[in-house]
Amino acid sequence: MLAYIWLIPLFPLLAFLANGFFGRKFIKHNAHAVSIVAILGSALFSTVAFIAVVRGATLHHNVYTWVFAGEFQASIGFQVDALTATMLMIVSIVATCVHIYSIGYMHGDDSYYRYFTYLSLFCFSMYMLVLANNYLMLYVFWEGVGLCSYLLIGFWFTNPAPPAAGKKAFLANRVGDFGFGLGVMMIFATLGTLDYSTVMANVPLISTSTATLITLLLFLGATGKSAQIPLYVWLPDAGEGPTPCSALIHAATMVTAGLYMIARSSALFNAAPFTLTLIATIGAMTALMAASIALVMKDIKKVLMYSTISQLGYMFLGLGSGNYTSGIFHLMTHAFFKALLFLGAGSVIHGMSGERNMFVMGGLKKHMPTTWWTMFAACVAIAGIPPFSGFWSKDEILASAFKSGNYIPWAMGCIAAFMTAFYMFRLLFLTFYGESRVDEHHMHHLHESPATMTRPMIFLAILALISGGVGISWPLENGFIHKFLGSVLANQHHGSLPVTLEFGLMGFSVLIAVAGILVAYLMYIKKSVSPEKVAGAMGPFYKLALNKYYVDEVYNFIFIRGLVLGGGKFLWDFDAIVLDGIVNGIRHLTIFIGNFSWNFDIWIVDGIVNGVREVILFVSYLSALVDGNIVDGLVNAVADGIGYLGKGYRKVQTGFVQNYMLIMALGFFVIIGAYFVIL
Amino acid sequence: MANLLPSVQDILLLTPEIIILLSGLLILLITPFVEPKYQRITPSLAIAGSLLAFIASQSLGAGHRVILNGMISVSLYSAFFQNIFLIVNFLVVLLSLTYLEEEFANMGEYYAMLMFATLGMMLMAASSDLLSIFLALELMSVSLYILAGYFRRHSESNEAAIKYYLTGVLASAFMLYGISLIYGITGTTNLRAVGDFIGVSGSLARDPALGMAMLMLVMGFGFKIAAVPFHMWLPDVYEGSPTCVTAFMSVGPKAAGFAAVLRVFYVGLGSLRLEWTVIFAILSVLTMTTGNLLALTQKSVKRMLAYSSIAHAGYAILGLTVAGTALEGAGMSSLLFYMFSYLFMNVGAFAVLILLRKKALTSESLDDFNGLAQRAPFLAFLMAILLLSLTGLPPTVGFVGKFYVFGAVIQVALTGNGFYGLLAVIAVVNAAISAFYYLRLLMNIYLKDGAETLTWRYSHSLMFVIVFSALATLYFGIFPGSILSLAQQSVKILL
Amino acid sequence: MLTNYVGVLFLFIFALILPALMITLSKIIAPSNPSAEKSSTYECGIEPLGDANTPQSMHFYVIAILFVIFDVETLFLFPWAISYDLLGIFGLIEMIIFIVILLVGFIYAWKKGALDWVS
Repeated sequence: MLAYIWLIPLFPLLAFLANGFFGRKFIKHNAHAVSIVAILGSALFSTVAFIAVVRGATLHHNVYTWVFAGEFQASIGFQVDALTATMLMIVSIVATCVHIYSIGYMHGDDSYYRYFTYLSLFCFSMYMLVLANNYLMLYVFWEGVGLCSYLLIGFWFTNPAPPAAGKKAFLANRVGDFGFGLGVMMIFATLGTLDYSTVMANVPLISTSTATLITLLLFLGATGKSAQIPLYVWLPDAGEGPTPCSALIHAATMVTAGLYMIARSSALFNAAPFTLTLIATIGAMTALMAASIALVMKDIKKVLMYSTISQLGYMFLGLGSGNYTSGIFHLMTHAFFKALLFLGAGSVIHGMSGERNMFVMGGLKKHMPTTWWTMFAACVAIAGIPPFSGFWSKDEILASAFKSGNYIPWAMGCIAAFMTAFYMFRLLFLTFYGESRVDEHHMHHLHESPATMTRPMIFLAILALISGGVGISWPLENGFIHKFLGSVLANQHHGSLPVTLEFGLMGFSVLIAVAGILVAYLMYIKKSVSPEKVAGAMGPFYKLALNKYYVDEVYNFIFIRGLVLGGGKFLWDFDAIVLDGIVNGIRHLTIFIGNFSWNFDIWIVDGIVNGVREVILFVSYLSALVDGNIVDGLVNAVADGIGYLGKGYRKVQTGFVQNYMLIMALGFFVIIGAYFVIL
Repeated sequence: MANLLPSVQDILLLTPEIIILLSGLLILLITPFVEPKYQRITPSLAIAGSLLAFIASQSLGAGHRVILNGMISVSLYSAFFQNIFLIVNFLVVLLSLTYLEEEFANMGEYYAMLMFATLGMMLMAASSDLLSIFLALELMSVSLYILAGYFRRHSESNEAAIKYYLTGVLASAFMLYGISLIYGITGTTNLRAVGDFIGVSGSLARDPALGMAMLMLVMGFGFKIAAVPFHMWLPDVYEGSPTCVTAFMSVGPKAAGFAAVLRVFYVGLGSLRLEWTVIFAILSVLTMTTGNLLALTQKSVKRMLAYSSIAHAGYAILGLTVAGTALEGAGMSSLLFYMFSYLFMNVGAFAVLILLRKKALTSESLDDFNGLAQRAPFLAFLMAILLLSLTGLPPTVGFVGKFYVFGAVIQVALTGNGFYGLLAVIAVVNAAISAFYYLRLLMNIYLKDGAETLTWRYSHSLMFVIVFSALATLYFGIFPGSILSLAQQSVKILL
Repeated sequence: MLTNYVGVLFLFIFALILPALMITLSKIIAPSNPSAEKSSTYECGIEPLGDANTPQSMHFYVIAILFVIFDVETLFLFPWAISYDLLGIFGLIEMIIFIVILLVGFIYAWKKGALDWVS
């Protein structure tokens, strides 16, 4: 019944190959046509598949068995069920909109074909990721979408910032993928299979401790890909890529892969209550922290990036509360309104000839009416104003957090909800309302974006407003999406609250949202409250948020100090290549850590450095004492051995063959000595 | 006396070796008689020889025969390694053609030495006696000493040869000492007999002299497979040798070393497995960590690949450590597969270095590869496949090889052996470190701008090697099944 | 097991101590009055003229190595000849193979001019 499912990833793959091989010489500025035809084909079949799944069809089919050995069989196979179908629809809708939007946005770029090549490759990987029927394939395409992400972040590689951001994303994801890979290996080692359905069926066989370890490792992977504490640092910088790809990859699809993976493994995660609690806590913390940073950002894309991190935190809160459906529900509504917000921001940036600072905008409403109203729609959706989509999904997440007893995360989520409403409307007011702060030069070029850009936005705006409908029902949490996804997600049921409390909570969250909007209104339209005064009153908190909690700097700090202690020069070189902003890091660090750092430096680091020097001096002194031709060489070798810890490992490679032989012989004698001592 | 004489059937089992020997001799014989302009006849002979031997090796069948008084054992195991050597030989001859012609060094002797080295490696994989292993090893080593110093007008090449020779002799001396100790204790050099002898007299396993002998063999073979701390020669030798020889050395002798190590330690010293698994585990940790950390600091691509080959040896030694546990089959077959997977990606990467270079032995720095993707998208793409494979990312063969080795270690860890759990973690961390320097090169190729600093030395044979390697890397990454089952079949004769 | 090797250990220690002792003792006991004349290379001989490290012709080494190879070949031929009747036709074939391989090398060396003293 779903035998055509392989066509969905095939179209973008073909488009990728066509653009990749012939783009530069032949297709050139028609690259979009190839990619759009492909994505439309995929979208068509996705819709057909979705309808089939709604009617009850499922598919679990191994296409090719990638035999490893004996018991281990990894296969390429497809699994289509309600969760897959939902993801297929989200990817198809957003990808189609972004493809069309990109025609206008990327118009005239030198690497037009390259952009669409990457975009098609991404779509292929993303489709394969959601269609996979086992963890190995998931891992392969998890890396695949990651690769596309780095490529697109570093798309404009002639500027210094984009490649640096790409590297940062790569590094953060590597840490996460390391955990994810280990988790997958552990699943195989425990159960001897990587097939989703077999793994889920065998969950009862796993002990709680093993399940906790596995899920923690998987969750580490999710924090990398889905930008959660502690690995979220790459996502804000990812805005260096072209804006439409931010909408697709860094808002709607790729960053949700971590959530998808957890939802896919819901039965496994249910077996590990500790992990679930951790997920809920991390999710709420991320939601709050990112939202607070978004309050003070000036760059329009940075606000949206932090907002994305914050919203992803909500989704994790939903998952961690055991209500997987609510997480996926919010994933869907968020995909629509956040993609729309990014596209809208892109439209603004496009109109402003690349300017991103909101404080030099203002009053754009009359110049860009369509952009204004679509973004307005997205803002009410994300702020949680009923009856628009964000309200339903966010409220459900908060309710399930409350129900599952995660009261502190729930409270954090509520505060974040207030902040969300505030910063979204702050963005809206600063950009579209009030006096124009646009300078002459930009004013001259200011224009509404072409239809290829606005039409997809209108389409998404409609979805952002109404898509919450799939979750509305009475009694609560019994809507279409709940029934649909409930069949494949192992939701935990925590019973229901008294109706009055349910409505009380609902009313409370509406109140919060309205309050947030009101504060933004007072600050930026009425100007009866001065933002500067509020900032002053908040004092250190404002500074913390403005500097993104110094997380980048702290990471740099740990890295650099690790170097001093480890003493390897090579890591230093490596550092200079990979991490940006070290110099800044050190400066901020001094402010942040203050006297403590200073003392730490003097007492401990210097102590160790001096200590090592003393040891070396002492050994040299000894070697001067013990004279003689043969012993001398030996002591020199030992002194060299200590010296290279400090100066860098490679100093050993002297180039003198006699040293090499000495080291070989020494190695041999060390082994002999150890062997006989142990024997 | 009659049993001394081999039958014709026994001799026929050695057809691949005989073909290689004859083609080597033929090349040596005709070299002085060939006019310089017809010099291409010698590489053609070498190619024909290796192809013929390859075909002959396929038709040997799956039987296991011990011939020549227990000196040689012809089986799937030896055939597996022989195929690796013959493919390497074939690819390296193709790589060498234009490289040597441009350096005005395209002489028959080179190909003859290549054939003799290959012969030595093939015999090493087939030997089941310490003496024949040693002889084969020396045949291989002496040929390699000459090859390393083949550019005799370059001081770097001379230096490489001398260093390789001096350290190699030291290692050989240790190995020979170890062999003589074993002979003294057991009264035989045949590996099966040695194994039986030690196994029968249970108390012998803790004999210090035997332990000494084992450690000397560890050192001797550790040199060949470049395990830290016996790796010191490798970077200088790899860098100083002609690049085509480096490509050959980085795969062939290493695989041959592992073929012999597996036999010597598993069959001969099987009763000491508790001891040698620990030693190899420590060597493996040292080897991969050192290799990876030093590769990180390199500016020259050739030297980086040299250090990375040390790291790869470290991963392969992991398979050896598993071979000493209850999961011996998985450990050994993972090692075999790893050697096979390493062959294509490494030869391919060196082929790219030969295609794009400055002068004979000038080191190409990482920056020389900046923006290669814009100037030569197809070549950059092929290089990307090879680098991804070296990193161990799917869907390449490097991923499968690593996965299989790590998987074997993890399986041991799951039987409750925490030590192997630690090994697995270290190995995975190392694999992550290695990603930095491979992908840094990839970033230079794709994400940076750069002017043309390297000269193109395009030739069909070179391009063939690169495309072939990249395709094989992909093909065996997607369809590893046949080779994996072959590797599993192959190690059965040792079990 | 290790106790079996105590003797070896003692021999090892003894071998280390004895030469050290001898060198030290002779250093302490013997009178030492070095003078310029005493320290020269040949106290009672003729001063060396020029450097001893003069370059030799490469050919010397090539021919020396070739000599060693064929010397060893002869060395193999003796035991083979003694036990010829035991080895029979197989021994003959084996020796022919051995000699042919060496012959190839010989032809190569000859043709390359390794045997021409002056080139």
